[in-house]
Amino acid sequence: MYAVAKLGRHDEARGAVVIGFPVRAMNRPKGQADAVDAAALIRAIAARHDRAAFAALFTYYAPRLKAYMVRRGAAPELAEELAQETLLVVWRKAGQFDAARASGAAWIFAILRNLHIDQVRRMRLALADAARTVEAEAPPPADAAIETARRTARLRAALAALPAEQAEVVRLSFFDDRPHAEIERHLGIPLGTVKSRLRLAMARLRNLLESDA
Amino acid sequence: MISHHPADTTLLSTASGTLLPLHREVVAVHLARCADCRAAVEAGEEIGGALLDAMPPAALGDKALAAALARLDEAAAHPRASQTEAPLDLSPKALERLIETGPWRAVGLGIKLMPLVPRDATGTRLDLIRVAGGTALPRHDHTGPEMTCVLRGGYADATGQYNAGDVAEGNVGLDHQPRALAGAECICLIATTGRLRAKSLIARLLQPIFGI
Repeated sequence: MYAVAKLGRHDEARGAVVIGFPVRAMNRPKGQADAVDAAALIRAIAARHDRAAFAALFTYYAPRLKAYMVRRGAAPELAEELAQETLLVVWRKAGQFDAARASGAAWIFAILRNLHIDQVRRMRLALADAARTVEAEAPPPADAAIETARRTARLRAALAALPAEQAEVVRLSFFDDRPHAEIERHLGIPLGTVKSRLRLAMARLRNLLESDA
Repeated sequence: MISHHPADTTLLSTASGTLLPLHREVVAVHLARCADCRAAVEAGEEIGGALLDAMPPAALGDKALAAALARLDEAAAHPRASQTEAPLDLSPKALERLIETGPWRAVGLGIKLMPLVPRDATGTRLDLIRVAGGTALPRHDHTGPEMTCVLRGGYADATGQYNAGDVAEGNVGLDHQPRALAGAECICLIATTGRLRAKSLIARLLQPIFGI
């Protein structure tokens, strides 16, 4: 029933994953502020145009959105502009956020991604894409929000528990426009190995989530 | 019934935004019909959210927050012009409308083509193609990846049989001769990166017409 259950479906090597060691790469460095409750802040913006909530969300996410885009290869000024635009879209569309479907961080991530695609292509496909996906859905039951929060927590735990080499290809697949080719060059490992590591990581996430259910 | 889905790695790059834009459009058409794959993309977005939370924060300009706060009312009062522009709409309804009323071009041999997006900066173009039942495309290979979603009917090639809603991912070097299943015509949305290389004389003659 969980969203990630499907990941790894096509993986021939499922079951070959070694249960084991945590990876520090996915963990937050020490001394950094705790994550804000993004979902609560977004709901506060939706309910009462809460500027303090926006400021809190901005203070936490704008530097991370910028860092993400810089890591993706954007110039710092452009990355900062995208970070600001993303949070302004959060402000305008807060009422569309559905905690039953996504965590706050995932929703914000998707907005950044769509703005970036939009910008790169100079076409308006991404917003339509987002609108389409949202409109096509029937609203899930109310207690789905709790289930989504649990699912998110499980997913993050599963990510943190991935073997280092698998966590690395998953992370890099988010940072490179030509994921597999770039990853191959970056890590100096063959393309087939990159793909098989990705498949293993997906299968492992699915297994962890299923055994956790 | 859908039996061919995008690969997990494709769904992950759909979530991360690293998939080629027009290939992404084709995947989106499949997603509109496939709850399993939508769930997989949402899971990928959760990975994105986790990565975002784990990013070491970058320094912002001094007045970044003030500037954003100053724009809140402006943004609410005046939606940006860009958001009111009509996007290329590939929703199920819009696709039906395109299929029924769009500018189909007969290219011979029972094949019709409707170019939707010309070749972009990544060398990718997006087309609708419609083929009479039982008709085969000229055999060809590919210099780049191809993403196909079947909208109506079905076709088969050496890699399998594809019916409405199915996705076929072709890699560089794919050499195939798709043939529409006997009976109903087959209509597909196809993102093609690079060129098709015809393997026969007749196909080479047709190539200028296809332009792909």
